Amino acid sequence: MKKRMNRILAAVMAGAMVLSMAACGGSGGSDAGDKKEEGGADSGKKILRVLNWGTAEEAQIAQDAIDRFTADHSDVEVKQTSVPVDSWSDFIQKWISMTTSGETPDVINIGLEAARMAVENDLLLPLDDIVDGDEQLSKLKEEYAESLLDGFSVDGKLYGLPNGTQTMVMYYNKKMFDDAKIAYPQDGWTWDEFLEDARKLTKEDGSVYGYGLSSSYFQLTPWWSTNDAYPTTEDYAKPALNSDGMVESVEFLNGLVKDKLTPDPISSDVYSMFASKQLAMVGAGRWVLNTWKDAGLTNDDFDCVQWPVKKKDSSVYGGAAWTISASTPEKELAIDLLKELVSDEYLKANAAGGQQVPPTSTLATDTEIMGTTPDNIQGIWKAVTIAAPVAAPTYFGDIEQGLLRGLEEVFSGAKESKEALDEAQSQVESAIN
Amino acid sequence: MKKKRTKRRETGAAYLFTLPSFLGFIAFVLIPVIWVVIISFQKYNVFTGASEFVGLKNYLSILKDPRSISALKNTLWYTVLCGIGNTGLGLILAVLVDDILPSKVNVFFRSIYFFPSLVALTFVAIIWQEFFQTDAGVINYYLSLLGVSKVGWLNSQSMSKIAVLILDIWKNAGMSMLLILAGLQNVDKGLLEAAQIDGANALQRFRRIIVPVASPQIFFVLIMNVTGALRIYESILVLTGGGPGDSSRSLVMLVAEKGFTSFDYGAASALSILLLALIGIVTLIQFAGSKWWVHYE
Repeated sequence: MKKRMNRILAAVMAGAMVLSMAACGGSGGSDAGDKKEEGGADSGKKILRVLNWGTAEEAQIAQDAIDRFTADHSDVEVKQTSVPVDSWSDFIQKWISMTTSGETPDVINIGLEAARMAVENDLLLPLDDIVDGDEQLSKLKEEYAESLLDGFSVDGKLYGLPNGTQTMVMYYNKKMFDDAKIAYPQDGWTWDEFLEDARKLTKEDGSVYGYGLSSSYFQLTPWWSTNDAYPTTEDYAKPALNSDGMVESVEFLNGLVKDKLTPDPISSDVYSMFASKQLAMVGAGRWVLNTWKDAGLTNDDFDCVQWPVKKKDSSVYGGAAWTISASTPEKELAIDLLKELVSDEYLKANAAGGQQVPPTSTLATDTEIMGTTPDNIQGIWKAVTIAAPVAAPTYFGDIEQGLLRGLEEVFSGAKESKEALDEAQSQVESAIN
Repeated sequence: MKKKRTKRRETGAAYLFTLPSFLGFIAFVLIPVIWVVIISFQKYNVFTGASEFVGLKNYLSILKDPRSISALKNTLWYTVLCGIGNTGLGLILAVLVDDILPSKVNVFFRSIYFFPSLVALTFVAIIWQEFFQTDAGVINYYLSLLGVSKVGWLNSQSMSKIAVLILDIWKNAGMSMLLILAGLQNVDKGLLEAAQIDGANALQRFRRIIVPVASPQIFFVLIMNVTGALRIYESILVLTGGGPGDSSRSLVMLVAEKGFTSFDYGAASALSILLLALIGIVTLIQFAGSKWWVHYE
């Protein structure tokens, strides 16, 4: 009797061990996929899979659009997977693991940073014919900013319908400008005027810096684009990190660091510092406004202006678009789902969250959606229309890391600008071969 | 006859008991390692799954890359300092909390020294990032009160590894302390008292009695800390991201970068095999050296 009990106990423990190891192996690679399932088990229904990214609120907004779709298509089940994205390489990894496990997503919300990578690897369906042949989509196409459509087109073919965007404007602390008796900056102001203002606004004791430089790939782009420089060649085929324009821009930024007009760009949290009145100016998009409002900043405290100009008016835009997988077995259904996901309702709800800028002029200039803080809130849409896209070639991961590493070498005083950019250029070139 | 049958049953049962663990090992350790070895000789396209045999090309490109050498130097720096730091501090703390004060006070100190090991690294890192801020950080504030000028913990090439070292030791010394404490229980208190009566001071008691008796546990903790430091990843990732530049980047970070940012699985696999060889060599050296100072009862 005792022997049998022992054997049963041993078998149960062995089983538990195997299962726990399987669970360990499975959850070990946790990339925090938040699976939201629609409907019950497979009951002969067609299945569409949606790969989304962002916050829980954004996933819910997409789920609302999906629910509207399934209300009209009762024979279809839609499964949404939403991934919180830290870097676009993570997102692509998630996409790949879904595909290799046989659950290829049909409709994907992809960021501009990953668009070329996806097209190069034949993951996306061209949308031109689909858009031209559909009334709702053609009308929508007219409303989009040209720049946004260009960003999601490769070789003249459109691959995604934008659902949100981000950009950069220069925010400034009005009270600090008043106290220093400097006129507020106006659109079209130059790098030199910006430098002068930053000098006047920086306090000797280090309690206030004139500007907060954020050493982040997207946030740095306006400094390249307003100098008519770009991290890659125009066709995105090769990096161009050590072009004269790039070196000049990096030298300018390094000057800000050396003269202590900005806190350390590598580890400072410039957005919190602006909210706690330690910075006179900082570059950001719409995404900071909610946090700053919560921190108590009002229209009297701050406003925004276009990026200072060196060679041309410019800024940067990024964003995301809904795309269709090239290998989807349910093309017609995917198109219908796509239409729901770029409907007015979805775009409005997405923008109402406050993080993203809506991709059409009608919505992005609507004060009910965008709010009225700061006074020059319309400046955000203006920036989108003049902006260059964040440089997102197929080797995005390599060039982002290479450029940022090079800049860290410069800002930490270890290398000169030309030397660091030359090295970054050769590192990225060898990485893509 | 009965004895033979029982023996066979016992052997059979033994095999069955070890089978689940062994199956797990094959599925989750052996097969992936074999896959990595195979991929290290290929050029692997992660999007299409296609692979092409390229021989030693991946290994050669890694050995020629100055970034690999820099990551190797950093990793060896961490191995020596984190390995010795964690083990050394663990040993000192263990001796200090072992029965010197009344037991309730002992428990309090043991808890606070062990507490960092329990907290998730992500939260710890966010807080330490704030501490290490050049302008607004707490550490620089107190240093300035002592007259020391602001240290660029996270944004200077020379200090970034030291910041990671501080975080790593703060987090892991408590675990080492706990393990060595178990070994200290083998030390005969009577022996220590006798030595004290005979005139041995605290340092002599420590060197001649405590360390030799607890040496098996100390050795185990040293192996754990050294192999852990060779694979250091999260502590760096969350604090400095490997920067500025490559100044705090370790080998495992480079593997992750090659695999998940550059999508070059071939190079990442080759580098991880090289790291495996390095860990093997260091461990063999440690075991060979242990004959000199580790005493098993």
